[in-house]
Amino acid sequence: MAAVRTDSERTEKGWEPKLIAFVCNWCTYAGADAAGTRRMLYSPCVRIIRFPCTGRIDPHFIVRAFEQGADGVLVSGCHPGDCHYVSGNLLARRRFAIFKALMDFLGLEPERLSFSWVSATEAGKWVEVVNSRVEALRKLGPARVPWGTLSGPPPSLNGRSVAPMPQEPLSQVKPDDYQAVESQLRQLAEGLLATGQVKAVLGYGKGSLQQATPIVITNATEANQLIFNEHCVQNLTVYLTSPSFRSLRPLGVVVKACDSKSLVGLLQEDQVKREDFRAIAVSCPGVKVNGRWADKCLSCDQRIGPIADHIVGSSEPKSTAGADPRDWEIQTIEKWAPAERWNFWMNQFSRCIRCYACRAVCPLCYCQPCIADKNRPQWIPTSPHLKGNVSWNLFRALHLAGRCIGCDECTRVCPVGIRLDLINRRLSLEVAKRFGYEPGKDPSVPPPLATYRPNDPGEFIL
Amino acid sequence: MARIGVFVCHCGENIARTVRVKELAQKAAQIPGVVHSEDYIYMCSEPGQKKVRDAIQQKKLTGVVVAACSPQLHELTFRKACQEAGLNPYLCEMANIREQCSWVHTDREKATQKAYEHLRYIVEKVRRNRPLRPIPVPITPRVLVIGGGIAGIQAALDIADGGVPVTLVERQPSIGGNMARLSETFPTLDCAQCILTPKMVSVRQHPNIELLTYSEVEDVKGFVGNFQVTIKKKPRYVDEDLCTGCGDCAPACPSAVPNEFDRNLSWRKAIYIPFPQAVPPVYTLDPQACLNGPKLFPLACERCYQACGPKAINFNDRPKIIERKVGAIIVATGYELLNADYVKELGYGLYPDVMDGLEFERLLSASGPTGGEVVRPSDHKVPKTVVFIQCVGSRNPANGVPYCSRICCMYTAKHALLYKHKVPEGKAFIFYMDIRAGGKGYEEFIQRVMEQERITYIRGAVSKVYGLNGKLMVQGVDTLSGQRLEVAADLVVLATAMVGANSSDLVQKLRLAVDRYGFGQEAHPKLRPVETLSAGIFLAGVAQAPKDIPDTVAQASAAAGKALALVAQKTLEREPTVASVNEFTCVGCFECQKVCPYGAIERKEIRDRAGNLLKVVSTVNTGVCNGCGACVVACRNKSMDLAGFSEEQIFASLAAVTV
Amino acid sequence: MKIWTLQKKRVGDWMAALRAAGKEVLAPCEADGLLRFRPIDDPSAIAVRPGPCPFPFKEWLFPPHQVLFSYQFEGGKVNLREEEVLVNDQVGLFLRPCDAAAIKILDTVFLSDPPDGFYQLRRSHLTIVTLGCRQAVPSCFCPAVGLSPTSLEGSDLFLWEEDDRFLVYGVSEKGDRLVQVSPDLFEPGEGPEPDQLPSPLPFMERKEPLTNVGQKLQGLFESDLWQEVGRTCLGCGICAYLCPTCHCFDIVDESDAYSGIRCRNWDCCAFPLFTLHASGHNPRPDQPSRYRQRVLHKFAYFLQTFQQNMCVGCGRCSLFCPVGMDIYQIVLQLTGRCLV
Repeated sequence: MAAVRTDSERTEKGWEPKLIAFVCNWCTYAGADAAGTRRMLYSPCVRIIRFPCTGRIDPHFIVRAFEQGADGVLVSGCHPGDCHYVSGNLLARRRFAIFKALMDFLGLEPERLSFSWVSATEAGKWVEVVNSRVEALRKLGPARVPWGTLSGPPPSLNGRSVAPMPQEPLSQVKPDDYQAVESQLRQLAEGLLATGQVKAVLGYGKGSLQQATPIVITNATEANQLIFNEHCVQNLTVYLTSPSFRSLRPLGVVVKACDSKSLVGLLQEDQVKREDFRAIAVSCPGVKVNGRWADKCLSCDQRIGPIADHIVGSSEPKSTAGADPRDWEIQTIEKWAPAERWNFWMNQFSRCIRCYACRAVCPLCYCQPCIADKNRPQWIPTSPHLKGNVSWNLFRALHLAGRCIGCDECTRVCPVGIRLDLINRRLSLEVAKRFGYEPGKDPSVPPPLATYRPNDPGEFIL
Repeated sequence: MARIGVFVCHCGENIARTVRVKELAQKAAQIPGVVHSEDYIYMCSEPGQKKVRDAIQQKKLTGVVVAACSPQLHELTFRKACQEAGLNPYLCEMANIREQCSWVHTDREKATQKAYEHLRYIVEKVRRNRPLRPIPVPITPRVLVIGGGIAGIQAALDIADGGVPVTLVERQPSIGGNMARLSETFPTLDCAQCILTPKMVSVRQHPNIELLTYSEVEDVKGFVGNFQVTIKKKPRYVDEDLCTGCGDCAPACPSAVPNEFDRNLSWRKAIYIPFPQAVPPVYTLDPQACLNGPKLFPLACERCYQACGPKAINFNDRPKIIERKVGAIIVATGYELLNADYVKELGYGLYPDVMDGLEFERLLSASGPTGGEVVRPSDHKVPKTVVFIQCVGSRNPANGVPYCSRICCMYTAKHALLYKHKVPEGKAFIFYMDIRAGGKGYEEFIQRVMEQERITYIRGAVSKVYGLNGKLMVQGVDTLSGQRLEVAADLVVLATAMVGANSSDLVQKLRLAVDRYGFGQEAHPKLRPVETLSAGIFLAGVAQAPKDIPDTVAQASAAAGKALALVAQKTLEREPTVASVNEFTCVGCFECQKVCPYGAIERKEIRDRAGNLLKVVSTVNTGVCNGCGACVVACRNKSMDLAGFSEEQIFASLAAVTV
Repeated sequence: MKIWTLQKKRVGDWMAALRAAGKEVLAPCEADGLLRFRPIDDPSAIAVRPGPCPFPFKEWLFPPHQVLFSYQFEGGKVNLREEEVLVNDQVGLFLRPCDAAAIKILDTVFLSDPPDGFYQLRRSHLTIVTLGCRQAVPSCFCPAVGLSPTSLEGSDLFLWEEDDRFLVYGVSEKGDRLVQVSPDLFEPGEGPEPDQLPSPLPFMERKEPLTNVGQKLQGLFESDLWQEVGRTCLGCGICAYLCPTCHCFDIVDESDAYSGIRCRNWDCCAFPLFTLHASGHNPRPDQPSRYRQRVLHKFAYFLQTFQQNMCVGCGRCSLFCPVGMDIYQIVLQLTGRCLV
């Protein structure tokens, strides 16, 4: 990871921007060759790496280029509709849109990351794109300072205590609202186990230190151990992909409305079979984290989620849903200048200790091994230094784009309090805005990054 | 241990003038893994290539990097040289220091530094290249043609003439398709049946063609060169070998239903032949129309059986499943006319005297329901005023299809001309938006129709057709004069839009990409119009896009040519830069399968020795994979990788160009 | 043992004096909601809450990421450069007795022959000033493992908070020297023996002894109970990383073709890949077996090897576990003494 040229060496010898260009073989590479054939001059600050298709270009490469000291990255390929492999560039357009939204949100200066469509005949465009990118980088200066270093204390989100969204909508909730659900749940579980419809029920039980912990009951007589109250925060669907639960199928799993959305993702991605579980949907008025209503509950308008084999309690939609306070926080961050935003996020990521609790609680982080475990090559450094932490948190967010249903478990469990919920939500909003897609609704719909529309927005592409 | 040879080309002065080539060669020698480094004035020349070959043999090189022009120019040249010297050609790459360096920069320092970093990246890449062999795929020397219209017929004949056996599958009882319905064809006014039937007969008689009519493709498995096709032959209830086509059964049959071949303008019996020149010339019993009911048993009526001399009728007939192995498939499923809701405003479906183009063809046809006389379906009177309306549904994104159906201008002109020939005192009006007459002789035909045949062309659209006192009032506008007008017509013919006749079942089975109008997606709109993205499956005729008969025949021959080229080889050699799955780490999310444009990813079960299912993982069909790498990016934990552009290669390249 | 008193309002002066003497003061402070030991200048930044500081002190002796050496390839040769660790004298201020005892455990591991150079260097520069616990929190169970809110194990100085002052016990010479940095701030004082101080020990509920469970737990190695207790474990690293005594690490190389570093990073036995062999075989293939490892290491193996309990009863693992796995309850359950 250490660069041969030290930072001071680079500035001493007169800094020149370094632009890494990832190009597709059939269009842009040929276009660059055409510029050569026509002897059109452009800046030598660019380094071209050839790929069969922009569809082969992974955001990992872009992040790695920056980590290695590149000042800017350009990705260029065929115009939509002309891809030699049909759809590579159309898939890439979606992926890069989300990646760019993420990098903008994190505060990377927008001019450092560019995308373009340059065809084999557009030698002139290639020259113009390279020259304009290099000039923009020259103005911005070297990227070494922002990437991987802290530069001072971060701007604050005014602390969590000054939430713009009062918790009034949920102040009507009473303990009784849970009692009824709890007793009905116990009855139902007893019945399911007694009749052998499920081999076990995975639900919440009273914890010794924490108010609620996951418990597994295998006998109808144990049904009274099940509880349901405002402390039942965990998303139990995470256990559906655990090898230790395979022998308990069919498994009855207690799900709140938010948890149920995870089931959609697990079905979409073939991680569970529909017949291997029974979704016991409990009517949830809301849950609390650290004594306060969870942010996600403030805007929740459903009591029961999309997948429910048994419904316990009322399934009437809630009339009290308000706005999500994270949206205000996201807007606040987006008002800051890129350097401030970057500073904020670098400070956040510098706290990460790579405990991977965020990954462990997430129902959709089921890859075994995970990309973070891969070492040939090692895209994500395992060390908890800032470069490694940025890489880890960035890629986890990217892997969840279009899949995360916002259960916020990752944020709850993070021992150092990183605002993962803001990043996940920001990308969720981007996917909804650009592709009109919301995860956690319909298991038969293809995930947004595995598909495309011929007229997907590409306003960020040169 | 890597033993890379680096060869830096001067290209005369083209590179050497800007890049310090000797210095480059010397620096390259320092790169870890490089054991040979030299520069030379023209690497692509014979002495240059000899240097490569000699170094491979003398220094036992495991990889070669030629720093010279663009690989798009000479990669094959140097790979061949390597192969001749005994080095796997995929262990040779080029560093582009001409088109992308010496030709576009002027600063010698910077250009040399850039060339060095680029060279270093290619060295890192080559160090991690694996020797690859082209993937041989055996080919079954037989072709399946789906669809027995003119396109399918032509393709089948061409392939059969090429010595390759063909299985031609047609779902109707006879081949001939829509062309068999036509009266005369533009611009020559050939009789359609006259030019078609000889080809149909050739198909029947050709020793290399297996003709399966009244059959449908049930399933297609496999991949290019190795398709396994399941065909269901529907029961005719008539033995094709015994039936002589004498026709004694039909008059005996008491049940009559509308005749689809005549577009429901006439009747046929339950036992019928679609048209006299049908191939095969045998009768078919339609159980839906039979008095015995769809199940036929218990038999109440046996009149056809009793009337049949050769005793060809067999009520016990059953569907037959026929399995065939083929190397290539041609989809020639043709078209239908789209008569959707929008034609209701024009009276279609409300008035029997409002009809579409194919229905009018049947009226014109000598073997049609009226023996070629143009009469109104409602009262059998001869229409004295006929209005033809073009662009009904075509070129209409809001209320129809956005594209032009290409043949309507020509056939409408033909219709008007034929009408005038049959009813000289009649009046013909054509409402048009534009006239598209791009083919050979087409413009001349239109001019003849306009000027000599005294047919009135009105530039404008029609908003409504309604009945009034036995006439059809056609309300339209003449944009050239700016006037609204109404024509009192006896008969109205609508040139409705063509859409592809691909059934969604077939599309799914072939994994064919089809647009929402039913037309198959060609691999490249200009350069690969008969291939599809599924290797080994080709398109011919209107199944691909609206077109006329000459273009259909041309495209059918083109598809045949492609299919012949494919199956003429014993094995197919495919580029080995394909994807592969690490089954140990794959978690079976199948994101890769969702993004692959070629359908090259399949599911594979992993079981333990006791047969218990452990997990289902992805696997790549290397016969179909084109090496784009979209699956690698889609794979979240990188269980997928791509030979030639592997994760490790790119990782190493990134260091090489930034450090 | 010498005893002094230090006025609370003079703590800032003492810190200034320590800094002037070239010592860095590490104390618990809050940064954006996170409580962690950090070098501080301003006494008002100190944030002490009942119970142990969530993030353990061990990161100052055994950092999450430690570069061991770096290398570069240049001109066909390899330049190897050992990592230099520059450490000031440090004072760990306001550790809890469990934290101090934990450091003693880490010493056992890292200072035994041959000593870990990095740890040794940092340890020799560190003086530990412990603050006894006037209040326990529900997760605490130090009495169960043979410690107490007033334990002196591992401390150099022991502080006990009274209304406006601290009682200061000089436990070691190192601690005494710290007082001598600014002697006029410290009044000689009197006080009871630390175990006589009004500690919350009598009111603590989690006191069932866990000190001699090693053999019993080992005897349960093949039991199905581990499936029951361990299957809800998600395999994250929170328990090990927040544990003041956990010290497993991974050696990794991070490099490209031209240069690299070899480093030592925190690792956790709950991670699925922790015991993965190069052959592909994993002797702890499922989460229950990995959880069993954690419990046995803490309460059996370490005891066997080093005759000390490896758990100091701080309760952090149980409090921060995403699914509320309480190691105290679980060990009780395993050894047949369920209290819930």
